[in-house]
Amino acid sequence: MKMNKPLFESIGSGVVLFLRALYFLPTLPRQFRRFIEQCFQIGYKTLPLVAILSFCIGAVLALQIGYSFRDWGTQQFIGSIVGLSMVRELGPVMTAIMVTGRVGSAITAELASMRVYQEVDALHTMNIPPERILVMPRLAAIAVTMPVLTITSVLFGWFGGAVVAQNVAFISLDSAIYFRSLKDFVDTAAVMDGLIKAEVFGIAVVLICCNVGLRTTGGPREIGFSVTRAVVASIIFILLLDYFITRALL
Amino acid sequence: MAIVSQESSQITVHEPVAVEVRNLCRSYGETQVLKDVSFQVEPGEIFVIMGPSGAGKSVLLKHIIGLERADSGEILIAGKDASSTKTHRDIRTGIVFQAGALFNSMTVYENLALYPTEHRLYDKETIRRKVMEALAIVSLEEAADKIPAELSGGMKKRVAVARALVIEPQLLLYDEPTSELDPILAATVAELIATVRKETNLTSIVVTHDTVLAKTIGNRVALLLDGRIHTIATPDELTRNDDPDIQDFLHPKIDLDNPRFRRS
Repeated sequence: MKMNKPLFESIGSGVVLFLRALYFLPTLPRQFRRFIEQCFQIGYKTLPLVAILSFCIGAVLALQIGYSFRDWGTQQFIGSIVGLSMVRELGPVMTAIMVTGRVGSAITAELASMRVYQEVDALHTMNIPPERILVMPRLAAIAVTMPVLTITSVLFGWFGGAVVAQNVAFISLDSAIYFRSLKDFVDTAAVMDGLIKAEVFGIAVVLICCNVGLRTTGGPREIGFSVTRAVVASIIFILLLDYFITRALL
Repeated sequence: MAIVSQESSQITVHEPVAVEVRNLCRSYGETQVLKDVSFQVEPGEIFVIMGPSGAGKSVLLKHIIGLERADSGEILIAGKDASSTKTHRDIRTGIVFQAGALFNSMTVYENLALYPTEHRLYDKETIRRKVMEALAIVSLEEAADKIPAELSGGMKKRVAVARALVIEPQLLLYDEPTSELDPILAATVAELIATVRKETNLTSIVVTHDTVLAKTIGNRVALLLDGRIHTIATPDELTRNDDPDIQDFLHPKIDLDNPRFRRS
């Protein structure tokens, strides 16, 4: 039980942080500049990375399925398999992991250094809650940008699959057939399931990274430890949540 | 250093407050840092808490500003509990941190404007005037658009003082304001603290191990040794006191043949 104390403390402080950030949500119009800045950092700057990686994932997925199906004559299903995999699973999960690596680590590093160098203390002494100007704008930004990033990921994954399916000799599947098969299987419910997942993952990642950053004490070495801890915790949390949300949505 | 007269000043002067520390105790693990600390600070006074490094001075300051909670005892600011957030909402308190604690991602102007903007105290133009006024007091108007990384150590200290002034505090705390500064800059900061007190009549508590600063600007000086208040006296009384601990702290003798760190 003693070993679990830091874990329970982290979960508890994360919940409190989330509730306090929600409490300050009505002040979002006053934090509009910070919110836009975070949308730019979290969304716009992550978009190219998400697009390139998702294109590659879709391409490799189509390649693997095409190779496995080459003797069975079922290659027309590549579109549906890539389509469903991207929209339900790979799109949300890979986007969340990329957000963790690119955005989450930066958030933890920034907030941890603010904590270590007493900037957070300075905010407290000015009666400016850190949740209001540091956490809430980031949570609002991820809530807005995560669906955009996920849709981008899904679309680029689909196109990656289509390019490979059409141009690799042992698959040679026409794009029209690929997308017709994809359309037959991917419905609005599947898209919504993926977006719900992505939204929950995004908020969880930003919350974990803010919480770990704001709980950092010590010096520069501890900032590095915090970044590692936040990234590892976020990825584990994404994968755990993925299972439970998938079960709930099936 | 340019000081703007009170008549033309944009910095609003609020009523100074009294501070009372009663039987404060604080431990970290097995180590007791503050041991039954008690003192009173009069409104408008510059009260200096002096002591060697590790005596508990900064911890005491964090308790007064409400960043730490005591194990026992209490601190009252104008009769209100200092550990309550509400007290610091009702009474404007500012602190100049040892390392400045400026917001590194903001410009100097944004650092100063943050408090009045977030608390919606004034319109934009008034905030601009007050910020430029505070920067003028510390002679740093030209640094308004710089970020803290572009400033020297002394400039950061002055910006930190200016940021505290924009809060228009009734109580201003300084944590080692002259540490890491050259003697000229340390003298400048000492003059700044005294002038700020004179022009705004706020209550100041200065934590330092700089004996020259303490004797020059303090109305009264408390000597904190090993977590306990050893003496509270005026600078003159302190200088005349022949207590060996006080004299050893004020005039430490460098003994190369018998160094302190080798004494049992």
